[in-house]
Amino acid sequence: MAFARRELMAAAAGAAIGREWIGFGQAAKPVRVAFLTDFHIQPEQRAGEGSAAAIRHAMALKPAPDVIIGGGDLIMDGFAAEEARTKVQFDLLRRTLAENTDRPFYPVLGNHDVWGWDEKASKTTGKEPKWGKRWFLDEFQRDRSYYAVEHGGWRLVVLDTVFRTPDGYNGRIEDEQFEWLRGQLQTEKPVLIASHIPLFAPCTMMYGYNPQTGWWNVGGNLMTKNFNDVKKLFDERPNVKVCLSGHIHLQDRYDYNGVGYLCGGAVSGAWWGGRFHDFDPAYLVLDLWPDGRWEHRFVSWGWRAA
Amino acid sequence: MALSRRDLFAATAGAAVSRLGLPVAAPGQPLRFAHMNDFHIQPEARAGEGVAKAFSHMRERNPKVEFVFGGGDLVMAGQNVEEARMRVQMDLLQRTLKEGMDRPFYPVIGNHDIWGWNKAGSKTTGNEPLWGKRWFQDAFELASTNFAFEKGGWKFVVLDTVQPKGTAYEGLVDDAQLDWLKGQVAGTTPCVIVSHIPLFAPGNFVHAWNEEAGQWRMGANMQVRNFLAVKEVFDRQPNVKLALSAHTHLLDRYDLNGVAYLNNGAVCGNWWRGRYRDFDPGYVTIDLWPDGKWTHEFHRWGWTAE
Repeated sequence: MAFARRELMAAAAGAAIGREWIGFGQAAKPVRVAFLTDFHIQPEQRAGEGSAAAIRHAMALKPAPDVIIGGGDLIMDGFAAEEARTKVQFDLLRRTLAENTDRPFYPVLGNHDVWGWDEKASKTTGKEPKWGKRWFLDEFQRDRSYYAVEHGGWRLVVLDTVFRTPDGYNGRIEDEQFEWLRGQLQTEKPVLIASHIPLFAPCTMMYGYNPQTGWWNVGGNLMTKNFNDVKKLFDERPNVKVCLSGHIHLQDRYDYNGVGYLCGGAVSGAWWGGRFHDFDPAYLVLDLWPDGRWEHRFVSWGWRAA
Repeated sequence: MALSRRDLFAATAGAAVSRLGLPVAAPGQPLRFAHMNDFHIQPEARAGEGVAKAFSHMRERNPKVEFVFGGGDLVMAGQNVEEARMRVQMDLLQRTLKEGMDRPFYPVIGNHDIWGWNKAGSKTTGNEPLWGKRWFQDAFELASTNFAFEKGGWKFVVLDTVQPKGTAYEGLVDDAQLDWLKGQVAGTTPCVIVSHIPLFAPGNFVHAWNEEAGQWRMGANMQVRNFLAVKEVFDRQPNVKLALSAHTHLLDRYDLNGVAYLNNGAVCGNWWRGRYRDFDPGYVTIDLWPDGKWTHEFHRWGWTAE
């Protein structure tokens, strides 16, 4: 074969995006959502330039996205970084967003967007006003790390799946947020859910076979540990259509019981080092129709690592 | 909500696939086949009557089902049963097929179709002429449990993913089959791969969080442990479109790198005790167009357990 699969996929994705709409007919106008995740912005490795190029690439789609969801890990790392270093990254993020898009930008909190949970490495005490999730929230002027908005007849629900544990973090939705989510699903509108750590993403399992134990294993830091409880909420609500995630830097789609779970790759690919496993630096674009139908494409935005 | 998610899912399954714009634009008539898995036939629990009814449901489909894959675990249990019990099940299977299966029938071997691998339980020595996979092969006049054929411009490649491990089994595409597979998928003919134990099926991972272990965990008996080696073959062959499997009694779809992995439910549902987890007893039909496009649909054939 002259073509590797990835080249073929990339060619197909570009062609599809070039059409006026991805999928359906012209009956009703969809809302277009760009899901750009895992920027890992930093002054090094041309990450600022790259993030800007990715956003501009998305803005040049025809039609352009109506909204952008930033899927978390927007900065390279605040978890184990000192205050000055965290500030450099957040400043660069703010400037890059302001200069390259005028669309509503809905931020999802990622584990690397938390400041100082590694208190030793970040030289924090936990008493700093911006410590933990507060810096990210202040940056985007939000009072809570989970929230919902509505566009084009859809409810877009942003979750915070980053849960602190004694040795770092896990994927988990704690009780208060869980009850809030239950309430958000009580609508007749179709629902899209976005989280950084996936609710469920089978690509986490792909490299997880352990020949010593004979098990396929995935750690609690890669998916949401109480997903099965979340799924039970979805089982009762057929208006839940699609769940997006970041975190893994891989791209896949899983369909179970009427819900599509998409892991959205990474704008930064292999953390600005190029391709990660099978996937180029990319983002996800979705068209959402008011009647609940949706279509998606992964879009490689053309980054070449230095 | 009056409609449960599963009802809605069934109603939209056909439409969901046609969203991709497939059947409308493609010229000519598609080739339709059925993938009917996990009969688990036995004299008890009205299993024989049930399989006959599922066949009848299949015969009434319009457009017509041209041929059928029997996706494995066609008998209730063979690895740990004595010869007389194995014979009762195989005889019932053959009679039910003779009376109700009027289409070409391609049998895929499942772990339960193997006689006597548990020698203590089955009271076998391993020297019996019908021991192991031989009984199944003789019943269906199969020279080999992996085989391939072409129809309607597509190639169908049947793998035997059940390999012995201790007194039981594991999911594995052994080296000889892996080489054979490479040869079978070479070229540009669109391919459907069929196996009993899935190459990759995340369904059992949905409820697999293990709090004590702090891991998501699934055994190598649930999908082939060398999936990555199989995926490497597929990565080089964009003509590989579909990988169908059985074994889990679950219904899901996984899209990775241009291949759709469909785990297609069980004719017997919860081993003839009704619904299993989120899914009723059922089977799947697949329509294939010569240009490589396809659609699929899940059918509940109407079983009510006592």
